[in-house]
Amino acid sequence: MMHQADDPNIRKYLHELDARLRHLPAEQSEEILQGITDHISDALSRGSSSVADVPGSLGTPEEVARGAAAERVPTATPPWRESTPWVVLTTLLLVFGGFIAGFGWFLGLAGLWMGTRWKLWEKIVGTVVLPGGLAGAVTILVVPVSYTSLTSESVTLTPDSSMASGAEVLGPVLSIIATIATLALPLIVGIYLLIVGLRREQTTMRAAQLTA
Amino acid sequence: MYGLDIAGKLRGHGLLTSEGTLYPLLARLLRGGHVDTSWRESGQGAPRKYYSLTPAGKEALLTFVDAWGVFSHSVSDILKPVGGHDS
Repeated sequence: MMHQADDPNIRKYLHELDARLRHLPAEQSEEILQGITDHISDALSRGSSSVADVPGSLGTPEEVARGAAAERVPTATPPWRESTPWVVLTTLLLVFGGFIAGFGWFLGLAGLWMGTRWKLWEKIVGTVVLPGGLAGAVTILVVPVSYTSLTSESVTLTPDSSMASGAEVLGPVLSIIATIATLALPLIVGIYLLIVGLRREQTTMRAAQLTA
Repeated sequence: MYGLDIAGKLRGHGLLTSEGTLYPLLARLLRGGHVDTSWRESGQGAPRKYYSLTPAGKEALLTFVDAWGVFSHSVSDILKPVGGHDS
């Protein structure tokens, strides 16, 4: 009997089922797997079915997992990760977090990816558009400015400095527009994420109620 | 009763085509406090996990029996003109 239960086909079956139950809390998936395992060894020891019959009588791992699918929503995400304070705090940290000892933005990033109210592309935009948020934007602006001011000081020494001549060609108007745009970008993205996140409150609540 | 036993009984009544789907259901009942499990020695081989109804489970069952009586009566009433030759 032990040899039969150790059959590679049965091990493969249990392995597939395990993979499909991964979204459940460990306690639940272990309970289900244990039940199935006992069922198989029981059936085999009784001699009422053979190894080849197992998937046929039990159903495919997919079918079994589908029976557990309804379990997912009420237990998987802690409610605070879909809450309104979570949305507000996350967007604040994304925009202004860079000023908090430099790492506040990373907390915001974690909040963004752990949150449930944003779509994948919104998470990507929130990550890619100006890492560091407003602090990142300020850094981008300050670093080249100090760099160009350094090089323009040395213009007399090295007149062919491309950085200095590039800044002169751009002119003050363009650089002001670029400055405003750079500062505005993280703000716009932050406000967008906030609005979208707050608007989805009702839909997520409704979905949770439906599946509960 | 233990898993294979329950599955066999349901299958005998034609209520269970894929026996494996029983276990997510049992896990849910266990989590909801409607059933309890205990390990008992079986005559042959390894000990088995037996499922039994908890008081809460019995209460839920009685509620269901009541509701089901009313429900099935109503449905057969509604369906009477469809299925019968007397329509």
